[in-house]
Amino acid sequence: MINLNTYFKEIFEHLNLIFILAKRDLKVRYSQTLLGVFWAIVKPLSTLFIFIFMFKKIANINQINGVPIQIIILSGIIFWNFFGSSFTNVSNCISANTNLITKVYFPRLILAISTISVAIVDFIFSFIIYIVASFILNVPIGISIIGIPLLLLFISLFSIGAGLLFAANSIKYRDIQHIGPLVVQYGFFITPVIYSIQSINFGNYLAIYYIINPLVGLIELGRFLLINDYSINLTYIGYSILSTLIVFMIGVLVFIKKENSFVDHL
Amino acid sequence: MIVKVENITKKYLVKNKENAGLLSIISKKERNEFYALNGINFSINQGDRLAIIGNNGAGKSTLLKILSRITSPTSGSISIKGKVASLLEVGTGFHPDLSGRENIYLNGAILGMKKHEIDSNFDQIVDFAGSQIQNFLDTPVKRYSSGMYVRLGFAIAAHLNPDILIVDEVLAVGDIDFQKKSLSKMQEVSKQERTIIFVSHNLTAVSNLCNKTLYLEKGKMRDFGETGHILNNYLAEHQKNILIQSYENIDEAPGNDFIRLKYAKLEPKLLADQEYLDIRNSFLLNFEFWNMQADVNLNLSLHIYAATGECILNVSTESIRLNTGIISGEIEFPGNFLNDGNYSISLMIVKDQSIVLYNFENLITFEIADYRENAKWYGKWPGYVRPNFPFKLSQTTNLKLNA
Repeated sequence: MINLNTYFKEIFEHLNLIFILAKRDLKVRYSQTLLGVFWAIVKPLSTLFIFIFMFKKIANINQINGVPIQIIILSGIIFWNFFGSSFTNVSNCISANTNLITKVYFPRLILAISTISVAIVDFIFSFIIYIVASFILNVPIGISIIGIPLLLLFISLFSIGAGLLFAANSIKYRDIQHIGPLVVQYGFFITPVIYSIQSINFGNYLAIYYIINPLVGLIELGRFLLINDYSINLTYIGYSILSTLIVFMIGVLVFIKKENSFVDHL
Repeated sequence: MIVKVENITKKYLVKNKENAGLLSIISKKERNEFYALNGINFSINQGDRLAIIGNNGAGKSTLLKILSRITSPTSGSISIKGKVASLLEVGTGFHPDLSGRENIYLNGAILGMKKHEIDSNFDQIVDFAGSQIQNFLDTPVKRYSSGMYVRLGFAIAAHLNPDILIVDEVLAVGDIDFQKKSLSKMQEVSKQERTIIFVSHNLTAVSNLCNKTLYLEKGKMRDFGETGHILNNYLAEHQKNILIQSYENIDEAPGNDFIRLKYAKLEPKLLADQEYLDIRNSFLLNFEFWNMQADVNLNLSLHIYAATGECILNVSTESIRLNTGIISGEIEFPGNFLNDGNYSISLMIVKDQSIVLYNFENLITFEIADYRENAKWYGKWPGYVRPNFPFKLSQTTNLKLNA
């Protein structure tokens, strides 16, 4: 029933709209709160300090496989926050734009794509924190950081896919909007954000872990790109990427199928 | 064919319980189906101006939403060729936090336009929207008045050169100057072989702007075709207001122990080719009452009310001495007197020129249609009276004035 070909052609024709909406989101995020940039920096820093306190002072862990615990935590947090903010924004992209959706037509997927911009800018600020920290702690950054944009693309695809599943269903079933924040809140702990995958023992189930939670592989890949000599299992990361692409495709298809009925439930 | 609508249905599920949420998946009961649109079929060609008319709740807005692709029909199919710009209700897709300027670019982008294309139309839009908006171009639109909202919305929709322009009731909001301006703009747009779909209660505007009309009633297609034909049927039907009241039996007649209504009738004096009353026609009101009081001084006081509830006029008869039995009277209203609109007549029976015995409210309700010859302007004619006094303009002297 849906002609995907024309749909994506239409999105391409609306590139200008993507930029304008992204600009709008950035403006709302950074110019309307007095300390927009300040919050973008404070959020990852405060998480970092809390966990440094827990690990160093309470659990007395200072490093994992020779990498300072601060770097392990920070490298996880910056990617997790990127996921958290893009996923949340995508899940809310319909309810946050009712004034547009009820009045004019354009491919609704554009709302999800453009809202990633805020997460990207937030990421840039937290990435600066990481660079500063890596100098202070003397953990050199290698050439492999040029792979980070590609990693961000994968995380974005996963956020869009998963976020769209929530966005598409939470309009009709309002209860679903309560589940999204839980995903971000508890996902943080079941994903190696503040610890390394090497710190846990999953035995034979490790591959499944990478598949059902693609962020495991994506965050580990992030550490690999940031930290020299950080060892990863490329096969398992491949599983995570594959799973990311599947989630993305399902999310997009479900969303496109439902996008013309959103208005009836708003 | 630029727009083709085939057998469209739009069904809503009306839940008795508000927002049942996830539980509603489990409990399928307590749902009522409601057809906002049912079996709509029509097609229009490029350059057509289609009016959609009908009472509130007829499905006009739902149809516009489907045509502008905001929602999809439950069944049936539509095919639309070209870019659609729509102005639904008040304001198009404005983002309240963005300024007027930014919203112009936002709406252009929604129509799939590139920045330079919007740039080239920008001045025209601002110019059309008026000086008030020019001064507030960099103010977030949430601070705009509803009039400014409509002006900017219309200016954007009309100037971004859509193939199809969908407009819902712009004439209901905004001042007369702007109504005039927007109607002539729509005429201009239609001359460029663009298609217009227009919803309005202003039948004068409809008859002058649109060549085709779709008449909806309770979600169904009542009629579709040439505007003149459809409007004639529509008006003839809608003027079946209370033009006559007649009672055979005195016990069932409205009134009280002093006086009861026997008969009242409003009779328009129509011209040969007319089917309904318009501003040119005079009309006659006849009435009869049963008077149950012997030897009483009575006079009548007649009020005409506009649809808004304001009293337009009050005329009264002399007080005369009457006896029990049937009393009757008549009054003729001249043509070129009342403006177009809906009116209701009430008759008050007054004893001794001071005591109101009974007030027959809404005795007769009627509608006067508009009529203009060779009109160039179709906005609502202001005022309650529409006299045709001699009013002349002429050239007295020829002079060359170099201003």
